[in-house]
Amino acid sequence: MSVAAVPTMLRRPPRLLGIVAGTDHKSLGLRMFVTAFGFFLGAGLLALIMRLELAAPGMQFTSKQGYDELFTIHGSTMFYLFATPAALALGVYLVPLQIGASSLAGARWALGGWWLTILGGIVMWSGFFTARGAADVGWYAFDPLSDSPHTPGVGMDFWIFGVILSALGAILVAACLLATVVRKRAPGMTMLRIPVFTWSMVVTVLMVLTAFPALVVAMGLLYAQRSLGGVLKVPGGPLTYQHLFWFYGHPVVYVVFFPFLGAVAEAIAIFSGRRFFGYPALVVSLLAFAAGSMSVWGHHMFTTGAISNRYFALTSTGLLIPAGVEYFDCLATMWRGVIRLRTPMLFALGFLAMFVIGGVTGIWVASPPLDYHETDSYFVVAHFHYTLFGGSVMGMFCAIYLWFPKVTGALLREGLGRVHFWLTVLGLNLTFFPMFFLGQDGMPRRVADYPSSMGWEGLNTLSTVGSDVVALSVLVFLVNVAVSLTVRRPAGPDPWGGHTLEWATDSPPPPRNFRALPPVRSYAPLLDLAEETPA
Amino acid sequence: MRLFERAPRAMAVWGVYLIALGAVLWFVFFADALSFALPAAAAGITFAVAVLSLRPERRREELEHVTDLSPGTPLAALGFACALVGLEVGEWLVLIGAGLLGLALGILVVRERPG
Ligand code: HEM
Repeated sequence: MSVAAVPTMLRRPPRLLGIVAGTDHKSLGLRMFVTAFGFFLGAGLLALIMRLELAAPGMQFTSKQGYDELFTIHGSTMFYLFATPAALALGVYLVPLQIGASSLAGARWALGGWWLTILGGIVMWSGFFTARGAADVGWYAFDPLSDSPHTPGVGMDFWIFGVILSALGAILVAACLLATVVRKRAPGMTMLRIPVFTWSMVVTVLMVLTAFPALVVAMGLLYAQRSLGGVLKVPGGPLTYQHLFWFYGHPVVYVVFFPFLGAVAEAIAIFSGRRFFGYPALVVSLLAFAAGSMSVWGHHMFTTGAISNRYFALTSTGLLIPAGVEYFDCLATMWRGVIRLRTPMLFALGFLAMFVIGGVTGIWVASPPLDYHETDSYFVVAHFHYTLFGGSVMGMFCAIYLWFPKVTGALLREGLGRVHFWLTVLGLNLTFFPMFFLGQDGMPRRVADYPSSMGWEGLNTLSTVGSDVVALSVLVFLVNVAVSLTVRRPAGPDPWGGHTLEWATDSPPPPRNFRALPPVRSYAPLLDLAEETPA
Repeated sequence: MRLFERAPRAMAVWGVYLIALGAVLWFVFFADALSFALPAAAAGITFAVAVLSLRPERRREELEHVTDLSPGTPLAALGFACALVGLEVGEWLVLIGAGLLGLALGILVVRERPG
């Protein structure tokens, strides 16, 4: 069955030095993912403090200034240090395996990217230890609020440096991933045979390479404005910053979505026992969606009155078409499939269900008249958490449960996985659904307190209880990982009946990934083999 | 679909689509220059990447010399970060960062050059 024997080589580096400087893509991908997850826990802790503060009217735990720092570093960490790096980390681990390559192209650059992200995180969080505290102007730091007269203190500058470092890190990693797909595919692995997850990474890294430079420029201008003055104080200066920021800021929502959608698509195909439906349509829709998502940035600026609302409303609503294709493909893959409701599949279904809520309310705020009502209210907070938590985080857990056996050689416990899933669904909805009503009722976002006369306390308390349930769910997950790694249940090379090449090698894979590669005749080479083999 | 069979073509198509969206914004909705420049710059990067990937794709996985350890790389990242943060903290940190960066580049060039 093997068409290409791939040489194995590379000695294992000494442990500590390997952690700091190892370039093997599997160990690097894992290290990237673990650090990103660490940032997720840190940002989650900040969210819990915020929710505790909001549970009742009055100031209980933080000051107003402290609260501003909390939401800024929470949102910034989630985007710059957790979701983007975690999405790219999945690619670093899996893309070479899925395309039958033995290594990552330019792995040293990717290693540098990982370090830049870590250092960016350290610099950003060190703002908490400065005299005036960490940045407190939100994750997009609009000028003039973020200039030095309005936000003095080095914490804000540290935030800018942190963002620059993490963005450069992401660009380096993305370049390596794209080069890997372009140059290192196995024989027979044409672009129209690369697996769905790898396609989702291709469009993701295209967006990183084309949109993230705008963020670096925006941060450079902001820093120049703060230290030299006058840079953004020309007519249209603050708007220029907003254009640059949102040119990055909207695509990043898909950067932290597509890789997880790709993971969900793989899980759905595997656990439905069917080839992924509508592969060509998915490829076109991913490319169209990614390009489209780079032409909707202005919808974050509707209320500035300085952009073409009609164009951006049109393109934003137009994103529904490729999104619909992707949804339809996932549903059609399940149609008449033999569905196995294992934990990865549960999270895949949870992802589809929760993201619909984020997506539908997105249509709502894509309409300028409705957006004028909802902007800067808790409705928006609910909407984007349904896409980010319901989408990215659910998808991430789907990916973890799906590929944990490949990465570690051990199976996660199914029972604990189910408990984790149901607690996540419960906690997520308890936390964020009440926020739609709060927003509709006029509760503004980014407030540490609210008057008791508004009658918002009940829904806020409910939301805080929900966030505790989410924290509990994450705890259950961590226990699951600890138990599964301590008392190991061996996974074998292919515990799920996978379709793609990573399931054709050992778990965890050897240093150069494959001893022999099966022939590649479609985007599901292992399914081809299974179908050819007489039962 | 054959358009997407090769990576450079897939990227070029993506770039053209970006330009088209930018052009509609510019010509039909009369947007400002920056609104057109942003997607145009993104398309420019895409075309550059597409051209770079035109070099013939490798058909066989060869045994390459791959360094599995690169101590120079984290050192370079640390040097860069120190130099950047030094802009705010003080010249001394910029100098330390520059020194680390120089050392790291030396290690990368002399000891870790692919053979
Ligand atoms: C249970 C988990 C979470 C809770 C309880 C939570 C809670 C909050 C709260 C209370 C705010 C402040 C809202 C405001 O006043 O504007 C906030 C903002 C934010 N959250 Fe979360 N969050 C959670 C998870 C996430 C995740 C997973 C992400 C991204 C992947 C995320 C991204 C953000 C962003 C970007 C902001 C806006 C920050 C800003 O206004 O600058 N959150 N979150």
